[in-house]
Amino acid sequence: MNSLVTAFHQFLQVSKSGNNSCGIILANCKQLGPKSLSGIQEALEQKSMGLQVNLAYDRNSRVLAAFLEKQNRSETHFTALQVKDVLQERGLLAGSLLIASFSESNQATGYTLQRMIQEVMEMAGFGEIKLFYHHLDGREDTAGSILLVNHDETVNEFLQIFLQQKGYQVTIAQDGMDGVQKYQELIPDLVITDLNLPIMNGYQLMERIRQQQEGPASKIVVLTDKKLEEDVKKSFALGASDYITKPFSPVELAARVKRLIS
Amino acid sequence: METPLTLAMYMLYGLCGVAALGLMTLFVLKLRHIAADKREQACLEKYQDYFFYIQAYGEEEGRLKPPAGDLTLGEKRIIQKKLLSLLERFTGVHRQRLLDLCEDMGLIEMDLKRLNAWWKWTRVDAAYNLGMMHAKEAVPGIIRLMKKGDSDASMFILARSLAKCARQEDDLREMVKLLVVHRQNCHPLIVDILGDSQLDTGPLFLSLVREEDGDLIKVGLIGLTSHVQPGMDPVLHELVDAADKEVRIKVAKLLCRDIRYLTERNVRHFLSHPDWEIRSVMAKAIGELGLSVYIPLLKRAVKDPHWWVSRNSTNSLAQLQVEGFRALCAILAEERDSRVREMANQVIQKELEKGKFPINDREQQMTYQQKLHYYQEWSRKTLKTVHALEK
Amino acid sequence: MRDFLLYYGTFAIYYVFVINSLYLFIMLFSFKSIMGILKNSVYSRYQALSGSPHVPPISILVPAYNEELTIIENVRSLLSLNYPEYEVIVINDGSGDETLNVLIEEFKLQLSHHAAVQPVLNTEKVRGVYYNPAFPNLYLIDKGNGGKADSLNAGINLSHYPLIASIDADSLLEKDALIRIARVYMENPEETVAIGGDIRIANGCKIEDGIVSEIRLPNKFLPMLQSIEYLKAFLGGRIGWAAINGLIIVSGAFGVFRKDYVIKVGGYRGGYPGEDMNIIIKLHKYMLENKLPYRVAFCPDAVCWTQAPDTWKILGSQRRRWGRGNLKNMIEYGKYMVLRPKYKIFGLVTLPYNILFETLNPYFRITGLLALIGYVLMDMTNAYVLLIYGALNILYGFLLGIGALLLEEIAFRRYPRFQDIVKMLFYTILMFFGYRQIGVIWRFLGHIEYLRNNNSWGTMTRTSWKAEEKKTMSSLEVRG
Repeated sequence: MNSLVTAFHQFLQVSKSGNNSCGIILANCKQLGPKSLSGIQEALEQKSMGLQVNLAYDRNSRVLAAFLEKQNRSETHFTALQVKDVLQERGLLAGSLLIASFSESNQATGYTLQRMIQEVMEMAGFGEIKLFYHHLDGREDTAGSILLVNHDETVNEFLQIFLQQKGYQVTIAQDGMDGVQKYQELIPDLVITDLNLPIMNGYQLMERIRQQQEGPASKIVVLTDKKLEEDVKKSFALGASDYITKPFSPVELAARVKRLIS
Repeated sequence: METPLTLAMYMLYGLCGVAALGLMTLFVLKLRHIAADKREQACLEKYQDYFFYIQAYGEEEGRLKPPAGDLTLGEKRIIQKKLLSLLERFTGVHRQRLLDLCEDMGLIEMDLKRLNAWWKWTRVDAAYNLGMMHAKEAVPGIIRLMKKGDSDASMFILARSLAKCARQEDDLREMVKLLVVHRQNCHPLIVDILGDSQLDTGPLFLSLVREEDGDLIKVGLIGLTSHVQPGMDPVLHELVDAADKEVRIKVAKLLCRDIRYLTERNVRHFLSHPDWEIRSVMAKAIGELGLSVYIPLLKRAVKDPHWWVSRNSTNSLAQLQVEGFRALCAILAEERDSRVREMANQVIQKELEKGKFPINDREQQMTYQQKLHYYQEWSRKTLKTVHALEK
Repeated sequence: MRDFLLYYGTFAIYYVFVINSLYLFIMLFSFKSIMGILKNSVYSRYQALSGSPHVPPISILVPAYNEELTIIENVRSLLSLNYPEYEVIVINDGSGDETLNVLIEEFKLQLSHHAAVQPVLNTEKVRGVYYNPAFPNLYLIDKGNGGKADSLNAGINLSHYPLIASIDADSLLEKDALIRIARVYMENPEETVAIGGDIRIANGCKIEDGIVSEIRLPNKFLPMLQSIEYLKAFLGGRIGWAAINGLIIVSGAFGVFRKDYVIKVGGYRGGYPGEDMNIIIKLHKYMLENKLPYRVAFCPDAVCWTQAPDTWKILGSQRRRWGRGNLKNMIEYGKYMVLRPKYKIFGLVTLPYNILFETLNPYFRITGLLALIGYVLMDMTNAYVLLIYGALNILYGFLLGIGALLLEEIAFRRYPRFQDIVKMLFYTILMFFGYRQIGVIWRFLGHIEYLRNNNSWGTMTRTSWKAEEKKTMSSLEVRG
């Protein structure tokens, strides 16, 4: 059995925090000696200003684990950033990181940890930080597929992160033409589109989608700057289920998306 | 003849010097820009994971943490740019988290200091950033800048920032007054700027309509068109006969949307108003609100000397279903003025053209048939008269 | 005789000195405004404004003559601008080719019997108005050939909105160009009668689907020279002139006007080139005579890309046309308004500058140069006089070029690479070895054409230019 699991059980016993949240960070690294390990621990505590970090290292799989008590998801992720920085500074990072957060630490079992270890060893890429999904969190594997047609890169990046976290599969198209193509390939559950798109505007996109409806209809949500009444009317006439103006509240958007897809 | 030529020689030397100076400035500027771009790219890459973090956890409880370690001023500015670009796109919980983060990173403090810088454009920069960060502490500073500043376009940048930062209606009112002082008639722009504010601007518009200053009234009126407020009616009724023509027209537009106001007396009053714009607005409203009872008045309005009144009247008649259509045919039959007949004919043709496309609604089909019937009756009548005349 | 030549030559040198110093002075005004322009172009929230209901609606007028190859792409690009409410009115100016049918087919337009056309201005006979409710913002007017001004007037008759934008059929507007101009308008709607946009040379840029996707300097010789010429004229000149409200021209390729004032001054003057300068002169005249506060503004961050002529023949025809138009405008209006205090800056500064240094430029320069050459030929020891004259010209031009590039670098930075600046500086100097001189001669020839009443407005020339351009465009820019 992996030495990390043992260390983890120890950690759970010591912390006695059965009902508090805890976070786990796993990182692929190069060979670490005990000195490097303590060096990393020091550096981390310095960076995070007094944060208690329990480190453990398994020589065989070369995986470094950090167990954090009373840290929710975002704090865990933030600490992961420090871990990555420290490892990179010392040239010890050899792959990617995997993080997980449990709202009650007794949900985390040795079995989960072993699955995590396996996943992190299989992870490709270098320096990526991935989130580990586990069913206990109450999230389905894929809540649905969404096609996002928008020219604004900032919004696209954000919505991809935001919606993927919620379990949706998000595809992005930057203009109307691309949007139609991707729609035909994917037939997503929901389309979030802007009205002002290069090459082919949002209205034409909606019409094309309408023409292609064969099976169950894809829902369309319009996310746009345009605040004129005619645009609202026209969008609904072309089959949009919702019309959201920018600036928008992501939480509200998520709620509406959930309602439409379910 | 040497002197003018020596003058030319000196000019040449002078020009060479200035050109060299200009060339150096240009190159230095260009190189600095390129270096700054590179730095920005590097910084954005360095903090990519951090940006993922702030975008992914906006919903969690607790504030977002500022990036660990010491940040140089340049790095702070670049991160601020990214934060601002996110801030302008979101509202709700996510925005609040980002705003808290800006405060925690000391960005608000940084820009508050820059608000007192000696170079005008640094001040404008700072005011803009503070506006994007919705910093309520910036309100007095920005008001001060607006009061002493000049009336060029930076005024509007300051005004928008003020609108975003303001937490009290009085501050917004102050902003409107400061803008209006320059008498630039930019009322729609002012209303648009006020739209950026997070306060409810309805009551503000209502109070502006009660002011003495014509410009303030106009701002209020434009605002009221999109933010209908209870209790605005008595004020509007008073303003109907305002001295300022623009005020009258805007009030008329607002009132014409309210069906309770459109009594016969008021409709007559507007349709015979000296201002053609008001007549035109009234004519259009009758059609949009479906007030068939005023068809006879519309028939008369079609003969109005002003083109737009005439056109809106004919269009309104077309909107008033069969009754209106009949009136249009009657105009064709009775009117002597060819211009009026031509206009009525155009509208009639447009209605009849709709028959080219398949009509699914049964009721619509029936109305269309009736219209066609009236039209054919009319054409038969005129043909008869023509034949009679020919004989 | 020798002395006379020397005096005259000296006078020519002074002429160069004054004209360029004035130009530099105007450029200083440009520098004064440039920070304001930069900050406004970055801070004015155009994205949000492009969806706001408070932005005034605009009628875009597109006169088209024999544009069958590119009109569809251009209309499509115009139909997808970032702007809340607007309409596109294409006016087919009696094209000989398939422009009309190509549009009707592409957008499934149908002859409309009920388009309300308010007959405010006189135009050639309108044969029909085409419309399709599926494209509610697009109108097509078909009329007999009458020239660009006539087409614009026809468009004005149909337009439904208080602002009009005059656009060339081959102009490629940037997506936010119109909303940027609208912002300038909204800051002072009552007093703004006209706003000009920035015209840049598209040769050498990558154009996909009607959008300039990558900005590069032109590869060919002539467009490159024009590129730096336009930069100097627009950034160095027009910003400054607009700052003192003395702008004499708003490009026909991209300009926005208050429709009511255009109608009041009688619409566009047809039948002769130079109608873009003409309408601005008329607007100045009207507003000044009626003592109405006004401004003719320039918005340099609203950019329109256009293809520049790349052969000497077509370029020459264009410059001769400009010369003719300029002379006619000065004779028709300029001479009544010049140096009269009633016309303020426009009459006291702009018009004298224009008459002395643009219209009469060829005469001074040609005779001055000839005098100097004659003088030198008579007495070779004074060859340095000619050198001084040449050096003065080149240095001034170089300085103005540096100034324009500085303005570009401060506020716009559309040419990001360092080598672009070097190339442009090089061409600034190169201009004075032939290009400028030929330009002067073309202007002079334009005057001769005017005096001979040669009025071929280049409907012919436009076709041939377009055909050649299309050859190069189709090989470079058509998307697969």
